Amino acid sequence: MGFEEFVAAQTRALLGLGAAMSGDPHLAEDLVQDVLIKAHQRWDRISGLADPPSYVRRMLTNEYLSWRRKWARILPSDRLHIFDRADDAPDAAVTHAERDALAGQLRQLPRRQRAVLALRFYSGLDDAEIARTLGCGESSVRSHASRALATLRVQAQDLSTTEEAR
Amino acid sequence: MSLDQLQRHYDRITVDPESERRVRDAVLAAAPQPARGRQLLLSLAAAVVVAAIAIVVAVTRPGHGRTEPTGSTTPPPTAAIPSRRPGAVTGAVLRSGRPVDAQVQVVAWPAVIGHLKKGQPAPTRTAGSASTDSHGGFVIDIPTRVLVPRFLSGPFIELEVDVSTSQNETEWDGSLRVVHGRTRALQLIFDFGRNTLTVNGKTSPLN
Repeated sequence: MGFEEFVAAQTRALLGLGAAMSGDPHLAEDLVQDVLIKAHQRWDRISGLADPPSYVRRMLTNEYLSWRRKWARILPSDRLHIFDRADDAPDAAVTHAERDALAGQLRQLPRRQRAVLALRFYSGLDDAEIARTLGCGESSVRSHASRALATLRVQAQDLSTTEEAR
Repeated sequence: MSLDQLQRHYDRITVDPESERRVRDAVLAAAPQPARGRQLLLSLAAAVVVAAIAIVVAVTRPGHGRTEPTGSTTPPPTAAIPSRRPGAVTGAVLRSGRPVDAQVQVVAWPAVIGHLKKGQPAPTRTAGSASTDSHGGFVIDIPTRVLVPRFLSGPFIELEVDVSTSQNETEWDGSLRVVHGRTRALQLIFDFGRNTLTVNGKTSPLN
């Protein structure tokens, strides 16, 4: 597969994953652009791999995890409203509120935990694939996922308690 | 919150076609594909040059034709990598196994940055820094006592290790468990020649 063909086929999926991890479509654009340019520089090697999309997804995840210096200058962002598909739902206002609350909670998670959730729930990868993507063990993936889910549940309860108290 | 709600959150993510077009255009403009014929020609030219250099070196080097080492040549410097130990980040910076002069810096990141105001920089803190020794090795102690609790996320501390040489720059980041007031041992071996990073004995490509 040529690089141009790869870009045409994979940009959408990479942008989605970038947005799922970062919570910001503009940052996702920057991330994907950086990664694809790096991928082009070593395309001779990448194109010979068994699964180039997996390799580039790994590059994207690593790029996201190593973006801290750039994030220090631009975080936090108020661009949380990135999802459009639910606007036709009958209770769109409620959906928006839930969406914002959840996006805010996800933003509080450590970045590796957010990456694990995005790879699992957006990209639909299993533990072994996530472990290969992150370069860690499957037990580490499960640990990150369970810590993230535990945090989200705790925060959801906290929100409910606050609402009840009002 | 249920897993279904979380799944729905991710299912709602859509990509703006304009965004996709912008990225595709920018990438292809910044990384034009060389024509196939030109690529092949360049590969052939590179192979010829490499072969010619190899022949010249083989014919002109001292001791050509002998099978025994002369003992007069200086062996190349080899890397001596500091071993792992709790409470410190150790490792080496190499190029194809040989030591490299490099600066290494460990930066601690606060556990939670979501409470910051827009535009406010994340309050990172330099935990330590070092230059590599003549063998490419480095040891940086992590002063956990002065970093906690703002930098602790449960039992973990978020660290970034930045490495810069005259030619390369890279970083590792991740979470380290803190046990009895000390971070778990972390050994990082960066090899810019082989493009690999070895973390506690496990090697992966260096991005």
